[in-house]
Amino acid sequence: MTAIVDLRDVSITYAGAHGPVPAVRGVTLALERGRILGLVGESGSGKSSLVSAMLALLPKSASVQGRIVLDGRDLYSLGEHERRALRGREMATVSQDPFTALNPVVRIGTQLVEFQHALPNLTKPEKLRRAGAMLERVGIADPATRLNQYPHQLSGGLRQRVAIAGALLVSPKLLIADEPTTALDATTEMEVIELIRDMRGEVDGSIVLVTHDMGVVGRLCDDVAVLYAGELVESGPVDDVLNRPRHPYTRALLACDPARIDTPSRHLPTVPGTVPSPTALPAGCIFAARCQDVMALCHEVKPLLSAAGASRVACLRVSAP
Amino acid sequence: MGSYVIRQACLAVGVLLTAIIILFCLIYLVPGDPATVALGPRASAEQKDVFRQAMGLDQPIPVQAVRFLGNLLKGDLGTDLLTRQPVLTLVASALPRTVTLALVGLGWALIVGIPLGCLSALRPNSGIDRLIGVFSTSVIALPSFLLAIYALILFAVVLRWLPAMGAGEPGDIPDQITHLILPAFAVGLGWVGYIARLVRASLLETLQENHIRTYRAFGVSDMRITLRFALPIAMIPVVAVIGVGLGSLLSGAVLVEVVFSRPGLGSLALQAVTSRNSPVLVGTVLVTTLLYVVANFATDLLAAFLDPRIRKEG
Repeated sequence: MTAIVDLRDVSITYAGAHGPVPAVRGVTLALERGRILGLVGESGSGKSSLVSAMLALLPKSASVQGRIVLDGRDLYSLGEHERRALRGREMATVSQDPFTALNPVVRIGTQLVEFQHALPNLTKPEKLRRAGAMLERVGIADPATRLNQYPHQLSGGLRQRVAIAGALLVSPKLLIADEPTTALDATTEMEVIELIRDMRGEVDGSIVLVTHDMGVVGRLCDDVAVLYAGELVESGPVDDVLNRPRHPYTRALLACDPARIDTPSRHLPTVPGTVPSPTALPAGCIFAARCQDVMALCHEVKPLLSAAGASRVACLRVSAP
Repeated sequence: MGSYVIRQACLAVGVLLTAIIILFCLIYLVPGDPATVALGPRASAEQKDVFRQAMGLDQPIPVQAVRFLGNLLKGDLGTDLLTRQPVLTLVASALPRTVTLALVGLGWALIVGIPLGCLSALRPNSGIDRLIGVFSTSVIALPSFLLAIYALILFAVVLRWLPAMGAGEPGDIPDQITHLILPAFAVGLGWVGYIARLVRASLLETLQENHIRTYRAFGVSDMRITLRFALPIAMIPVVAVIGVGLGSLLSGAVLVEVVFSRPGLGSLALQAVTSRNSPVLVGTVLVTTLLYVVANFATDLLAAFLDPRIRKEG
């Protein structure tokens, strides 16, 4: 089994007004073919930067160190032209906000045809027919009408289905879904989650799903990677990480999942404190300031990611005796 | 779409009616007795009374207003005080020339301005963008009549490449075209800069939108994204601004007509003002207003064509 995505010591640095901002630091992570990886973390944890880097869609102010290998090809040793050829052919993405992800003045059908621009040997009517069939597959009734409509005539849930259909149309080896349900209401969110699970067969099953919802991870993912302040703190199979969370941050995140709270309470638990700024990082463990199990050593020594059971964890309580 | 067209059309008729009422009021607010103006200072009181009765000026103002409107609906704009020709005939022969001048001026400005704006937006803050920026600001700052005078001196008088005056022989299309080049150049040049600036700003904003990232994520080329998917959106505010600017485009065309002695609404209005020929003046102002309303109606339709969301609203 070769990895579909292999991140090796990936760091992403933005050129800020007051010097460089290291948003992501030293992330090493691999996704085996056919598995769904949940990328979890708070706002500002660098998860969106990381998926933008996988798509080579970072803004010009960002630079990437380390290697991102997609299906055996080092993404950043390729030219821009070759990278562009990978997008929309080998990898596709579903964006965070279905309300702005589609062009407001172009018909749905025309947009779905455009998404297939890299597919060889297909005429425009054939692409439109494929688009209609795919809309039907993602559970949209009356696809012929929908193809002729504009995005504003569709609800948010329908638009996200259209976006997912668009991504599936190019049969990518890797599907990247960046918080695909954040902008949707709870019932629509469930429908979209179900849809992604049903559709995993279409993409060899390799999906990177960005989310901040541990419940979604539990329902949908095979692997999970927890990012904190731009660093990977724990990663492993979902069963292992969710049932035996070893990093205090993972435990804190799980404690915040409303579905896991057994005792009735008037307050939703939160992780106290805030994420440290990437320009003012502490010397030791990045989570030390908010950690409930903090030791004196944690403020001085930076924990390295090391194997623990089926997972990898960056915590001195786990790695140090 | 149909209901939108009807609604906009009703709105246009309303605007036109309001304009006519304001125009009618203005005629009465202007100091001076029309009979004295028409017959001259040496006319006797009896002559003036006869004139007033003949022209219906002795009637109460509301009656006059209704009659004015009724005549307009019949297409009767009155008679030229000097030549005794119907004003409608004069205006009808002048109108196409002014419209042609304005449209050709705007047309070449769009053809040159839109690509310049796109070029700027594709490489923002590059050398070419700055060059286009400096050029745009310079030509926007030039008044069209000044440009007309210098263009006339250089190309018609000094170089003798193009004719200096008139609109060309009737029926001789190539002659008319050569007569159109300099005036259209003068009318449109400022608009080239204006449109280039507008397209650049609007396009840069559109390119920041999320759906543009979607196309990039599907590997669509930057050029195709810009021209096929961003430009139609970027053109929506540009069309709206051009619609508002059509008034200044028309007045620019009118001034340029005067410089080049082209027959048209501009020359007609100028003659009417200098000879106190009020029916002709009213006729030209009215037709210019009509032109403006029609042009705005057209830009509204164009905006709806570009943006399906406009069609739906309301």
